[in-house]
Amino acid sequence: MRKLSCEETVPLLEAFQDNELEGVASLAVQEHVEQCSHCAQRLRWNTEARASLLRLAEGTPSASPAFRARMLALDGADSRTVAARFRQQVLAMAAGIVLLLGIGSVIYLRNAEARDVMRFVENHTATLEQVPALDFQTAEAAEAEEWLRLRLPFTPVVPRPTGYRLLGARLCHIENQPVAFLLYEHEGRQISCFVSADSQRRLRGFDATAANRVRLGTCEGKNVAAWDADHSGYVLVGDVPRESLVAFASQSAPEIRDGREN
Amino acid sequence: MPSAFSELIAGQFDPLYRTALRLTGNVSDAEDLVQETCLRAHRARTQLRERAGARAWLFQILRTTRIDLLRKTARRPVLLVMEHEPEQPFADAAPVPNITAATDRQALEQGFDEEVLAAMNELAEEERLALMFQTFGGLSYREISEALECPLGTVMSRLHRAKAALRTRLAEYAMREGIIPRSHSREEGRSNA
Repeated sequence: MRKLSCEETVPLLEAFQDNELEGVASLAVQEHVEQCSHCAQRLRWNTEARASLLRLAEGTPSASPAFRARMLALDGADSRTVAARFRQQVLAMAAGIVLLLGIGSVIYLRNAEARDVMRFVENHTATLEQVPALDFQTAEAAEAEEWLRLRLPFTPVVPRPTGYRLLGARLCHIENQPVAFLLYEHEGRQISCFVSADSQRRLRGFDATAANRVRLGTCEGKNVAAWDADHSGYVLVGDVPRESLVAFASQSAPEIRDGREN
Repeated sequence: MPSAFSELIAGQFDPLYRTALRLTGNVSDAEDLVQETCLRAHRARTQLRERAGARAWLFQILRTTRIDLLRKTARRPVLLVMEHEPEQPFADAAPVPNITAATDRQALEQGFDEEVLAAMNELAEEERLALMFQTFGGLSYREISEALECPLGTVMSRLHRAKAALRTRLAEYAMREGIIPRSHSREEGRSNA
């Protein structure tokens, strides 16, 4: 066994005292300390400091019995915590679902509300793309009224606004209800006028009301106006300013012009 | 019937608590530290492969929990290990008093214990952890190395530095109090090879 120098022994003294040295190394340190008074003194000094540490460890108080019992019962307690957290997560998820359903419902209802108006707009757009767009071409309101009267279960009054030229009429169905479709031209642009037996008040999606009670809205980039007159509901759709639609409505019936209730 | 986890905690509870108490310095913080450690250990209990490594595993959780709690409370700065920590800085310049010359054994021991505790709290965090894990947790060098996630050589050098700092303080105390005469307080090392 190789003998150790002091420089080699000093770093090993603590591991030697802690019984952390392997057999051969431990024996080598032991042999050196027995022969070297300097390292023996160092070992005694280290032992004194180590004893102080051990006294400190022995004098360190234990946990209170109550705390110890609580920690040892942690298995069940933590399970309860996990269960509580699971319940909280389920509740949070349920609340989230309810919130999402609420938001979804609002969005759906808003869309559903807008859908009514949108169907008129879609019909307007589809009609203009059709060739021919009209079943009955006429510039005379009376002729159009007669044509519609023979084909509809109600008698629509065809508006005769100044500055708006009637192009003709056709029949259509919106939400399974027969509707008179009238096409007008104003300053080079076409305006669709839908006349139904039902009040337009059930329609949603308008954002303003003109002074004469004409409701105004915008859908798919088209302006929309709606009002009730002559026991019918009127809806105008056109790629024209709202003012043009209001002007049209104002001339369609006396009560609209005066802003009176129908 | 106690579960395997309860048995594991029961076996290590006192060393864990005593270490936590000395690390934190008060019962309230120690209980917080132990409780959080036990909770984390319980949640991660499936990660423990061998029961033999349970003590090092628990103390590793204690260490990471303590770091997290310190970050939260920021009461005591977390001292990080040097990136290139020297593994063998064993040059021990601490004075080596001749303990056999002590005039008052009782005064020596009583004073030493207070000085040791004070010196321990002045150590760098990783040296302090190594020393406390050994002293109060009863961990072996190997277990400390696993708990601190560092090589065995690093554990040895940390323990050496920590104990050298304690001895320096103890020597100063002993000489200052006149328990050990100054004439006996220095021993020069020499080679026997």
